[in-house]
Amino acid sequence: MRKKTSKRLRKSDAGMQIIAHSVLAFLTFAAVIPFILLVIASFTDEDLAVRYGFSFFPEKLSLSAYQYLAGEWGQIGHAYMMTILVTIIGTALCLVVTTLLAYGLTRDIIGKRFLNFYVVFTMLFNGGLVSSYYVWTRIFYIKNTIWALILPGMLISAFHVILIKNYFINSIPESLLESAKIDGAGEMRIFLNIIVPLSKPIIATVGLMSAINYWNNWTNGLYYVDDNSLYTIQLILNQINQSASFLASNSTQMSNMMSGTASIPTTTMRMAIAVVAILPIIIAYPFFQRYFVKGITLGAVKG
Amino acid sequence: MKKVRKIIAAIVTLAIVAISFAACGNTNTDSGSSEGESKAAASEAVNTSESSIASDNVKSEEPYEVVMTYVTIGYEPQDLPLVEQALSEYALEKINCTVKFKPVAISDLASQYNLWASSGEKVDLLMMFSMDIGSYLNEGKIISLEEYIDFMPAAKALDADTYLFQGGMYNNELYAIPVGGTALGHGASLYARTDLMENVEFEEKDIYSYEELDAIFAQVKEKYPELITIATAGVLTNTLTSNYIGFDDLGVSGGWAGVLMNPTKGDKTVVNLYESEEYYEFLSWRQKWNQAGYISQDAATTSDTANDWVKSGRCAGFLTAADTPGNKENVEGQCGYDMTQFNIKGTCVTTGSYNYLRWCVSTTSERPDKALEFLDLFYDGEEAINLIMNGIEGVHYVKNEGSMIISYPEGIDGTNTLFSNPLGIYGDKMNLYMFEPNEDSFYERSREYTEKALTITSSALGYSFVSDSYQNEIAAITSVMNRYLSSLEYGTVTDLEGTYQEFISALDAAGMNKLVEANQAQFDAWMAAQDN
Amino acid sequence: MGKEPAAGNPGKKSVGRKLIRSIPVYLMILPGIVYLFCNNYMPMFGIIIAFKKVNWQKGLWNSEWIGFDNFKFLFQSQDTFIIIRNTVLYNVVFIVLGTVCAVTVAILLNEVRKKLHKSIYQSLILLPYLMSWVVVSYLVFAFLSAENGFVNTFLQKNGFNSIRWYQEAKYWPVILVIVNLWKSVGFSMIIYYSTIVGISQEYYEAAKLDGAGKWKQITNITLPLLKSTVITLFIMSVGSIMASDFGLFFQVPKNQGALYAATQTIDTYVYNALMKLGNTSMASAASVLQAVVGFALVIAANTIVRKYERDSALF
Repeated sequence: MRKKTSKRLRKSDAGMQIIAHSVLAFLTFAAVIPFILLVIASFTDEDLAVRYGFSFFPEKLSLSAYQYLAGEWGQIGHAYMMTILVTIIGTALCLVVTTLLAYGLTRDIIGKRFLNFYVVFTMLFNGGLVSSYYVWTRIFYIKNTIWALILPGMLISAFHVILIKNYFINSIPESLLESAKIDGAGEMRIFLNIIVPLSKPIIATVGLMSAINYWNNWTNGLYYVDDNSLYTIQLILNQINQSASFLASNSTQMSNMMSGTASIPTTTMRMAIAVVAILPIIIAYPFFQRYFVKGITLGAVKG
Repeated sequence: MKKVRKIIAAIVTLAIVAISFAACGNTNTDSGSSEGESKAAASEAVNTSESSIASDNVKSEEPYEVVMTYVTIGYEPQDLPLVEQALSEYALEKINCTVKFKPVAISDLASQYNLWASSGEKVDLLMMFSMDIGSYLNEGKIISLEEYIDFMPAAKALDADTYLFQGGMYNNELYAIPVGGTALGHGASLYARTDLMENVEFEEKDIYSYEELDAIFAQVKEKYPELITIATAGVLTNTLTSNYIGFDDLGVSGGWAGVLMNPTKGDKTVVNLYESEEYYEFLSWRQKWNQAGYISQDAATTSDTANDWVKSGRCAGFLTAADTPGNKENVEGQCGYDMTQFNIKGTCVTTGSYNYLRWCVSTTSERPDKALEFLDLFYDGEEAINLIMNGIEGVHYVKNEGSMIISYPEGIDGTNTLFSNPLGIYGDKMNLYMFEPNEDSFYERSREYTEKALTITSSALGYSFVSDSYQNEIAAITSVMNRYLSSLEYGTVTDLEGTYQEFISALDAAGMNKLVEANQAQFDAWMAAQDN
Repeated sequence: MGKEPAAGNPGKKSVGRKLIRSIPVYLMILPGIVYLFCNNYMPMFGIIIAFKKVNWQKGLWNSEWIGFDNFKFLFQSQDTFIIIRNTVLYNVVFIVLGTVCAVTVAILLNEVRKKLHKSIYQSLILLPYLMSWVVVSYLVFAFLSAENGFVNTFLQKNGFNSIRWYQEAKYWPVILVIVNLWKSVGFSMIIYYSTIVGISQEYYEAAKLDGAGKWKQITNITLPLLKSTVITLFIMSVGSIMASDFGLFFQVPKNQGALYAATQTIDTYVYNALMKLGNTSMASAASVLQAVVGFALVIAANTIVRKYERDSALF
């Protein structure tokens, strides 16, 4: 049958390939170039960077930014480990709870519409930081525990629930579930043996989004933790950056206050910290990718 | 209809949730009343133990743990726990207290204080960096210190000499204890690279005028065209004229509620700084300097500090900093070049002299008396202040007999020391040891400077504007400032006259003149009260 | 799923049956529901902060009610119209342009044949999303700096005058839209991509047999099947139409007052105005206002969508 595919179709195929590759290549280029600049900036000599700004071809390279990091490795290395741990645990928990919730919302149960509204409403109204802080620290006492980095505001997002729920509704035929029920399967069995395996793309998507959220989050660490063994890498980067710009805009008062030769981390150091903070996600990303598999045949069900 | 029922059910559930937290609210007020109890205990302590304030305290009490904010520049020094422990031991011996540091980055102070106050989290001492006492009082985050003054004998002694407490007064009550700087007054100077100044002709003067500076800048630009002349950087949230014009801002930084233009000459009229001729004069010069290329076009957008610019050789200098002794060495240390000092504003002691760095006591503190006793340790003698600023003697620094100058131990320097505290925000800094290349003469010079400054005080010393009911105006003024200040004061604006008119009418619409009038009324009342 | 009415006996017995059948499901969703209760519903009492003159010493419940006073600062400024206009307009552009770009990229990515190529494109296009806005602002500055920026250096080498990018507001709508697209397309396309990947290959095979070319395949199969996702995401974005990405509007223009006409949104305005005061109630008032408007719009959008595309509605 294949050989009979007309020339017209093959041309249209080829045309699509050209368009696809050119657009994607351009976007890739646009995405990578600034990143390369970032990396080069972290290796640029500090004085040069201040005088001439960042450049793709700096005259002088220097490892001092990374040396500084290596010197602070105690704190930074630990923060790294913390961030990785929190991301893994958080993402795993998130996926479990979110998919269960999403599945439940597709079932025909009493109070279905109410429960859907219950979930969606959380996206629309927020009590604010002050009351969230109060609830988490005074009612649940999570301050300075690892749960402070995992629970507040991060574990379930109504957005994710809705995405997964819609995927279940649109991409998994009801007939599949009916035949399983006829075979006597309970809800949990159906969930584990049918729903989850067929939903790999969306689970991988939400998993990725959740992992990125956890990795990039620094506000939980800022508000709920003051024990430095629980600091995450984004928290440190952010605090250094914000303190540096704060000091820069208050410089006259600063000069009265600052003493000694202590200096604020320079721009190149901040770039180095940024590179170090992004690297693991880039490395871990391909791991998620293999779940975006194509063409799961649902041919098992006919009619 | 089902749909409507479901929505009503949702709302009812929410209402139940909200109401059930009335219970939690009661817990909040419960803790409020238990605070009241411990405060009562504290005031009993005030009444019954006036004599036992000295260090021979009764040891039968449990030591009280003072929770103090430790302000960082983004990360904590590695040996902080060691210092915390050493300080605790010292405090335990002297006043039966231990200390626990609560590290906060300097850019996060406001948000953290808010969360702590709202959730009743226990903390005793709050560092108030350039924060408005009025709004903190409004939101119930800090307490009055009037009844506890006697717990701070060393600070009181300092106040007797230098009007220390004036900087912490608000509405005639003491709310904050300022940090005792080494030299009082806030004159300002420009610091430029000495090696470049050697090729520039200029006269030695006490204070340099705009014209004289202009002549100097022109020469520098001519001789070194590739350098930016004036080092100034960062988004401006407050006017730079506090370094050029000798006004008294009456406790509101930036003079947003009006200023006294000549505070040391008996001036009693509060005026709008931004509508004054002096202010416009400053703007005209800045525009001229910008157009001549002395000020960088990137001044407002750069993420580097002005010090970085000088250090990297991008800029010739003319950094603005206080003119107090030791500052020159500070700037030199940060930039790596020798500096020549050009004074641009004379010294004068105003309430604002102390305004920036103050310590307050949080409403969540259980023993304010103990907290202040602890704070007083930083004003009393050399031990506490040097522990927190320089670390442990022998481990983090080496001191010689008879000198206040210290140096690093073998093998350690500024880049690899395990403890450094760049923020000098504690106690009486005249007791603070300084690292080389500062010299012992620094302390003597500071004393002289302070003595001279104390003869030049503002007629409004001790007065500050009470801004409680003007929060909306201050918010509106903040917005206007954010919008116009950088382009006006860096001189990047193209149509100075036009933009300036926009600026002052925006300020008027935001309510600045209303504040000026209110300020004048309050000031007149305060002065009348002073005479009685 | 969920389109057919519940099968089974009509009459009162079915409610009881339904309840029993619902129990295992309730158990499954229990952790989620409990978490949302703790994280989202319990703190909702915080909304009252917007209506009170908060004094923490008195406690939240004893603080004075002052009605809408805290909202005044939002409307007292000369800039009120500008900030609302900016916030809403940018969001409209982001929603429309963002969706079009994300869908296009997702479709194109799907067309790429080799798995390795797909992998590489997808990972690299996602890269900007992983950078924080602060870092992005430094990179943008490297391009647009008045003295050393790449763009100005390029202009000068070719005989043009350099432009003071950070002082002219007129360029910034375009700059911000481009930067935002650049940063987010790699992420937002993932959702569409995963939906496309879930479309059964059989449809495409059948279309090919009928002689349909690529374009026809996309417009007749892919797009219709994406419609539901697009609509759902649209409704959700509408809920945040009064909110803006703080990092984009504050960090990238480096908080330059001269650019406010084009870059200031509700969130940056509130942040700037309250910087000195630290007034919680006023900040809370701003969030409540944003939430209320968003809520109203979502209900409206959802109601409309329910009429035409029931399954895409949120509830």
